[in-house]
Order: sequence, then structure tokens, then C-alpha cells
Amino acid sequence: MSIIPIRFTLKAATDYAVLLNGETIVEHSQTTLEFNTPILKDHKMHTLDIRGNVQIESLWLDNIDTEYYTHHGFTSNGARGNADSNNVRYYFQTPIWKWLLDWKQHDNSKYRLLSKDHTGFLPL
Amino acid sequence: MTTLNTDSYPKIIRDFFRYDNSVSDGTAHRPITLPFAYDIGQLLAEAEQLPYDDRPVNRCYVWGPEGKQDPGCDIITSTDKNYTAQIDLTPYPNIKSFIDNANTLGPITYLTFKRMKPRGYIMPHVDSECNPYKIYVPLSWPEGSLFKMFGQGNIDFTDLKPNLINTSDVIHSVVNDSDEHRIIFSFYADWSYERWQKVING
Repeated sequence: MSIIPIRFTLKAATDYAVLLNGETIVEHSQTTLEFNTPILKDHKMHTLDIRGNVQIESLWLDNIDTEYYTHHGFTSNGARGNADSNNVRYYFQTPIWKWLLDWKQHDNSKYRLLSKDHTGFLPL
Repeated sequence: MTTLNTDSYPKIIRDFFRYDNSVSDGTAHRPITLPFAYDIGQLLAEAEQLPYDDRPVNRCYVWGPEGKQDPGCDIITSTDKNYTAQIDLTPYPNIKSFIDNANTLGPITYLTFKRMKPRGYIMPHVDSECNPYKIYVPLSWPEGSLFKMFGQGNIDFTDLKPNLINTSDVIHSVVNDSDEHRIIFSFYADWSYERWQKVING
């Protein structure tokens, strides 16, 4: 079980809502937001939705900068990215360090890079 | 569990070293024995004098493809066949001798020296565009220096023993959590040569 801080910065053309595992955490308009999660089960998939016309610029999970994972959100039309007029969703697991290293290792594999070079973004 | 001495390391590094209590299964790194003699003390003395660059981890590019800028590693798509010294090795006879001896096993394709500052670190990463395997030869390894591989434990550099390391498939991070700088060199070779095969397969 984990309780982690989540912090993100964004550009928002509208007010936005933050949902964790489908439950509304807060509705807001400021460009930086930080909150502590409820208890999260480890090694289970969790979802973070930022609902609004938003562009997520940074995402810190458990005080860890997820770097380019910020650009690997799911937008409302199923594409990958960090900006959408309706909703950007991120998937993650706790512990964050382990999940993020595992994700980065796979995202940097030779075959993954070849896929990126030749066919663009492939969802993992 | 390894708790680093300072909070100045990014949290991803602190968590990685603290919570990844994995042990090696031998697939990502293992000690090797080079079949020729070399003097670590003499190599270190020469390595201290090399012309390093000013990157966060200082580098000195010593050997690589002929007629090219520093490619950064032995690039996996490289078609180079000729390799040469990238600095004048005359003042460094022990380094030159090591390279000459290693080249008798099969061509060395890239070799650099690296000097890490006290409290230095390298963020977790994968060298995905490089020859998967490289040999690391530590010349100094102050207490607090650690080379950790995700899910594969720490690399044992006890007694400054060289290791064969898979840096292109396994995410890894290095810290020098000490008050001294740390010097290593690493190299790639054409591992398909029979004499290298004997070295890396024990």
C-alpha cells in the first residue's frame, strides 16, 4: 500500500478536474497542482485523469520527475500525448520508482526504438 | 538496501538504490579475466593525466573508428572496420600496451576513460543504440561507488576486477557517494572473435 504525492504543471484553457481511479480529487484552474493520494494498492494499475482543455507540462509522482512519460498520456481520441481538449489520462503503478524504471527500460529497448523510427508512436 | 549518504541525489536514484534488493543471475553482468597482464596502478597514474572534457562525468575518448567524430559508443548500426587512437598515446605507454594487447584478441571498437566527481551520479538509463556488451575496468573504486542494474543487483568491482556488462538492455545507474573522484575505462570489441568469445564466456 502506498500514499504518494502527485504534482503536475499544465497550461489550461478551461477549469479542469483531477480524477484518480475515477474519483474526483479536485476541480481547479491553477497551473501547478499537488495533492496526496488516498491509499493505493501496490502493483495495481492506477489512472490519473486531468479533465479539461489542458496541456500537461510536467508530472511528478512520489516526488519523482517522470520526465518524458509526460508525453505518453492517453488523449480522449485514443492517441498518445500530453494535450487534449477534453481529457488526458496517465496510467501508473506503485512503487513509482520500480514502475518508472521498468517503463523506461522497455521504452528504450532496441525494438521499441525501431518501432518509433519506422512507424511512429506505438502504444505499449 | 543501500541508503545513499546525501539527499542531493534525485529521488529515483535514492529509491532505486534503497529498494531494489535484487541479485544478479549472471545475464546482465559478470566478472571476467583478461588474458594478458596489466598494472592497475600504472594505468591509474596515466589515467589521472588524460585530457578529460568538462561534461558532468568527465570523459576522454581514446580509441574508436578512424576518421570520425566521437560516436559516443560502439554504435549498433556502425559499419566501421578500421579503428585507431583518438589521442596521442605516446605519453601513456601502459594504456597503449593495454589496447595493443586487447587488440590481439579481436579489434577494439571504442574505448573511453571516465572520471566521476565526488557525489557524482548517472541517472538510470539504457544505452540502447550501442553494442549491447562492454567491458568495464575500474581503476579506482572508492567506498560508496556503486554501479546498479535494475533487477540485477550491484556489479561487483571488488579488487578492481573487470566486468562484462549488458548496458543496452538493462537500465542502470551509477553513483560515487564518496569524497574522492573515481576513474574507470570501458571498451567495446568485436565480440565475435574466437579469442574474445573465450574471454566473455569464461
